[in-house]
Amino acid sequence: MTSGSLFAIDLAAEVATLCESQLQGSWQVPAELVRLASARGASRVEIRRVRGGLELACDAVAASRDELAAVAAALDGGLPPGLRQQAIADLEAGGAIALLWAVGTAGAAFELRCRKRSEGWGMEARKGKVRVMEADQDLRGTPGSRMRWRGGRRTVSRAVGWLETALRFLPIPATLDGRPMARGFPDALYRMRVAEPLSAELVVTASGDMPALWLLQHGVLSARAVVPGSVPFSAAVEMSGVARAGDSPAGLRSAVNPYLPALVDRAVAMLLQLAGRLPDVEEPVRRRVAELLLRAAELGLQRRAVLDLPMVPLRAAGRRRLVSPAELAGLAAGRGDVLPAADPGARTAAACRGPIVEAGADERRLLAGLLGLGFEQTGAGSDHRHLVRRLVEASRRGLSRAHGLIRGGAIAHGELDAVERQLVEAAERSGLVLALARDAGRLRRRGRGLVLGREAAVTSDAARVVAADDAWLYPALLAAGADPDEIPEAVRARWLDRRLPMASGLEVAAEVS
Amino acid sequence: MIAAGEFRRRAGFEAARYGADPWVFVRELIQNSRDAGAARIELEVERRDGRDRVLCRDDGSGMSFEHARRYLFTLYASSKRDARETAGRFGIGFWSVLRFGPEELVVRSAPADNPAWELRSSGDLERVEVGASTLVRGTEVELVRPAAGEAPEEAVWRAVRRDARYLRRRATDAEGLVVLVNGRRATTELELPPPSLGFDRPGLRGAVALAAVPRVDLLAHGLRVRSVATLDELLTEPGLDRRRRSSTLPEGLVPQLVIDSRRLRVLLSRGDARSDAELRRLVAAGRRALRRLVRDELDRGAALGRVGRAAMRLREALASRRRLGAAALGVLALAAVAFLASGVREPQRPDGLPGERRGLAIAAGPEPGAVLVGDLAERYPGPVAETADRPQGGVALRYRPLGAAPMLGVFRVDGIDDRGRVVRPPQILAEGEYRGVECRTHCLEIELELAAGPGPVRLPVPTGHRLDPSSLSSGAGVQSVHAAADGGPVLVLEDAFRGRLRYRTGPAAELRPPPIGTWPVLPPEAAALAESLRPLDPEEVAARAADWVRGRVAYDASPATAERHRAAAAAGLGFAERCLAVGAGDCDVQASLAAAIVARAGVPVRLAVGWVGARGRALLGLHAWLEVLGRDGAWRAEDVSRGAAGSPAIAAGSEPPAPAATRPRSLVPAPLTGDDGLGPGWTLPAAFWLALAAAAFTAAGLAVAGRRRLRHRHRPSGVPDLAGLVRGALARPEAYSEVPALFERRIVPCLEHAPISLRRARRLAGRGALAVASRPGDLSRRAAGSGCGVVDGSRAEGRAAAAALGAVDLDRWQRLLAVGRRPPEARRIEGAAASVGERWRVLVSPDACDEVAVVDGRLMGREGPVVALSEGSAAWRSVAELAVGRPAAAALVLAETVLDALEWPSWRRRPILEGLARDAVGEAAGVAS
Repeated sequence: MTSGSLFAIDLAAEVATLCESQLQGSWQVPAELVRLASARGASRVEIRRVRGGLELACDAVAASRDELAAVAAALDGGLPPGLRQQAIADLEAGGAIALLWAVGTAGAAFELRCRKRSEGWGMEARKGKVRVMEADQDLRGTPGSRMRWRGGRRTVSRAVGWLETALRFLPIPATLDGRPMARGFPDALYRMRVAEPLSAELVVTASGDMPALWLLQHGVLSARAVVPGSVPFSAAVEMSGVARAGDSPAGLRSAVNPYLPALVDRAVAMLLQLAGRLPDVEEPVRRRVAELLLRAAELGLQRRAVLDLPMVPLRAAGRRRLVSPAELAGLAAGRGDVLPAADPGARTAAACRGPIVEAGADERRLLAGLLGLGFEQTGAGSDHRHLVRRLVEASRRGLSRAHGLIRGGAIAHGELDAVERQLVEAAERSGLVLALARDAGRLRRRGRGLVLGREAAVTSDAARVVAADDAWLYPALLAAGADPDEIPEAVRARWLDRRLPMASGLEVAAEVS
Repeated sequence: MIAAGEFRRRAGFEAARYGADPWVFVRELIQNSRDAGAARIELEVERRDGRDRVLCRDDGSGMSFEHARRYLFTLYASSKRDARETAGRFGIGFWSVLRFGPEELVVRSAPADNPAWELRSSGDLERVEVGASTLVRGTEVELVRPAAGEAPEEAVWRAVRRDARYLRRRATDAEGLVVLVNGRRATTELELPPPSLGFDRPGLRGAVALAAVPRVDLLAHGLRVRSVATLDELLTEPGLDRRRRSSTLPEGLVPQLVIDSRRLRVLLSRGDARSDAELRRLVAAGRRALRRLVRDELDRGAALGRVGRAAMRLREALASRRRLGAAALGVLALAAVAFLASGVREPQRPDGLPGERRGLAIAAGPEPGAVLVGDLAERYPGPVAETADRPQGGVALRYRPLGAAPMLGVFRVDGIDDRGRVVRPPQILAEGEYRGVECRTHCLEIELELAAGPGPVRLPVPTGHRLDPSSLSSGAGVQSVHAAADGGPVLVLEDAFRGRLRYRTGPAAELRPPPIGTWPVLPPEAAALAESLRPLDPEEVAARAADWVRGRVAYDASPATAERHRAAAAAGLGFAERCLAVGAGDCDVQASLAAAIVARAGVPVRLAVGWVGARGRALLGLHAWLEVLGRDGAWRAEDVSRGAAGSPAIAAGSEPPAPAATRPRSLVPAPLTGDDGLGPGWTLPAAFWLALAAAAFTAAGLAVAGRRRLRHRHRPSGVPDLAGLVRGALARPEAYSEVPALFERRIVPCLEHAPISLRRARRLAGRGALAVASRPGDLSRRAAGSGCGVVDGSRAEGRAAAAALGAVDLDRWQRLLAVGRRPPEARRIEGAAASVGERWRVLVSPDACDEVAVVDGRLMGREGPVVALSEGSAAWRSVAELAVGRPAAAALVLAETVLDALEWPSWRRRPILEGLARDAVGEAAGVAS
């Protein structure tokens, strides 16, 4: 027996299988047609909803005459099997299998018009019957293609939804009903393009705990792969260089596997690069990048480098700076391996001169796992119950300003005695505008300055102590009734420094001075 | 004919779809064996003499050579394409053997009713030999290639374990399929390590477990399709951004699932399944099983007995927002149906006499459509203003479109004598066929309930319409349509009939314009009016005549009016005179008088008797109106009784079907009650929607009742790892988003109060009101007393929750407080704060905390925060040094330290600091002076 007489191909079953078992549904056909246009060099794609279907227009020749003939031949049951098989193989090899899907999917109708200079050709297909049109006057004109695909109403609706997702990374402009289609990852915080190991856009997204790879062919999404056990970055990866046209999603996932380690390395490198800019980035980005880096460290990726990166906010004495996990471990060592922590943005307390880690639950969990330490929620309660007192304080300040307007009368500098002059000059040196008035009244505010009654006992005491040591300006102003936030931080720090030498590992005062 | 080379290229192309793994053919061979009904598959694998040899042998049904030629050796042809119980369907799987790169391929098969055969082919399929085989049963596939790559036995073992580990026989899900690799069994029961739960029902099975790494294996017919990390991922269409947070980090327990369906539709390379209803069902089953497993573990952890478990289920069911939502939806649906029904209830008759039937006095029996039986016209005496105390003229007639408002005439009278009697009672049957119309537009579909013996029956037809005879359908055989003397359609029943008649009518012009008949003599006033109307269009003539009659003869069908008419007739007054003299009458009295005026004006006119249509049905009570022949040859209705209270009349004059909205709502007459089979006060649309709703509820009920329940097999672990569950749930709440019990059950052990749920623990931690202590004590009592949660740190699940949520360690604070002291500076600033309404407690402790620790005072059972300074801290050393000579300055420094720790805003700091600063400045000034 010859092999030729034994082995055969069931062409009808082949066409049916290829058309119905490669896509999730016929609603994926329009996106496949866009992929075809993109592969054929289109520089723009316009999609419009028309009655019962979609119309796609592009400025590239989406299909050659031969390809249209191949589609017709593949579906022509009257042709010899060899020719039909050759036609299918040609369509697959040329990356034009989408034409067969468009024509062969049950219930679909498809029209295609292509123009190239003075030539034009086209195809009409309905219920599996294909009519290829040769050049006629209507088909001539500006180079490009126009495709009209029809499906049921629900299919069209789903097709549009799929297009909105699948074309997010299309390298050419695409419009839907005249409006530009959304592009890129919807929740991208930071992105970077890489050419190796595959052409890809690496992205830090605001959510997601596993690496999500969007596998593209000619810029159109083909599959999504989630890779458990790796750093949760996102990437749109162009696979047309390493996968066959028409490869299944499973095939693409399989094809990207060898490149995963390199892609993960690139993603971690991107995160490390981004980490250097953490002090300057917005808080949500910082939190996400820190979380991703901590996950990378937990997986053993660049662990040493990550542990030395300043990325975790630490509050001390009302100030905030980024410290590295390694530094946190050092701080915790003297505290029974427990650090006070608060959720970012929470208005709880910080430990004076001591640390409070500003970290959410995920960050805390990762830090705890990496560093072997614990966190304890810290808090001093909220001040939302003190509304009345807050109003009273605001009124007091307003009254003192009104008082300043009514009772001005600041004493000229030359009329001040030596002690009083030292008080005023000490204030001026600190950037404060301070004046004395000829009365014994309380502190009042005038413009940007403060006015003290020279006859008040507290004013004369203040003048004397400042004359003796101008670091006492801070308590002198407090005693006179100034608000702490009116007094420059340097004035406060100067007084506290004299009395509160820093012994902690966190030289916060040094930052201030 | 396909050349061998072409076949091989195509087969190779398809084999390449299966990916890079050269051992993927193992799955495909096993699949074919399973589909052939095998109970045992033996894989013999060896590497010897520089050759790798794989032999796959099964005890299935085998196949004849002809079957193999038709399906196995014909690419894409599959005998299993539409079979539900088989896994294969594409007709290409076998050729994945080409991925192996065989240099020799042998297929042997021994079907039960055909001779055994053997095909031996070269790897390139160029040389083929077919002959007899000694094989006794089943099928064998043997592949040989030059030795390459990893050890074949290990690779085949791994492939079976990966892709077919849980395979079962085709015939029954109850029996596992034995797959041996060199004598070692590779298939197992579908079970996962404890704690786990197996579940199955016909066509669907699976297992769920709690383990360290999340994993979901999706199987179709026992063969692996995909492995993913979460169930959600299976439902995510490629690329749709519906990511849910989950984690792969090895902490706590996370769900692991294997789910298998015989109805899953896989795509071409078997690497994906179609995202359809079956996949969603499968995922839903997996979720339900996960919920059950977690609940079982929680039950065991809480040592609940049967009663306790039942109570817990009930409580969770009641608490389930989803079920509540479904119940609310059901109630809403019922309410909507009720609203809909009430919305289509006909308004009460304006005369406020529901159930009282007025109209033309024509007797009818209780049977449906009885009024139509016999000749209705013969029983009509004419406009005599009679009332009837017996049932009158009801008919069960429905029509479409509902918006039409036809005047459904049964017979027409073309003349009234001066006494008010019908001049020429129309004979029911005239000679000749009824001349109908083929309706294409503006048709009216009519359905008529009828119970009648053999004989003629008049069919109601709207004014201006004619019957489309081709549309007549009854389901009771063919009836012939004849013409009545008045031109209307008459059905002649050959046998007794009980059922529904359906027919269609359409607009049509009068075939033969009739002569103007004999009508009562008019009094001069009416005659003058008629003469003045002559120049007008027929419709206008009819409208003006009707208006004139309405102004002089009020609609009144009361017995008293009828009596007055009888008296006037007895006194010798002619019809028109007595109408004007009485000044009242019912619908046919009014219509007849108007018809007399119209006739006098020279317009062809007739009195029509029938029913008024409204909202898809005929209203109760025969009615009379006049019909005038328009210049276009079409009859038009004019209802003189329009606007009269109690009249069944409806606005007329429009060409049927006319929209019901043109009618004055106050004139909508009473509906048929009781005798139309629809129940009191219900119109057809309401009945339709009610029936639809009832059907939907019944279907839903049947679907719920008939849902095949999953059978479960629980494999409990020795001791439930609740701590692991707690860690997993808190670290990755999304992994358990479908398991509300895990967050709602009170599984976090507490001191001083009952256990709390994870949800509550998270909420308390978010407010900084969650503490942990290893034993009861003063602090834990105070904390619990002030509404804080105090987790029991002596229990593993308590420690897990406390660590994940950052609970405040009360043990540590207990130690701090035990050794802490309140020096004078601390008391001084406490006093300063108290003087402005602030409360805090400041301690100095020699314990390990070398700086400052702050805790919400609620956790200590007191108001305001508690601040503990370490005696060894730089801050306290400075304060202590200052306190020797300048206690006020020391107090100010201490206050600054505490306020920094508390991060209070300026407006809360100032009142405290002002007094302390004044003291400090005074103290310093004294020193300075």
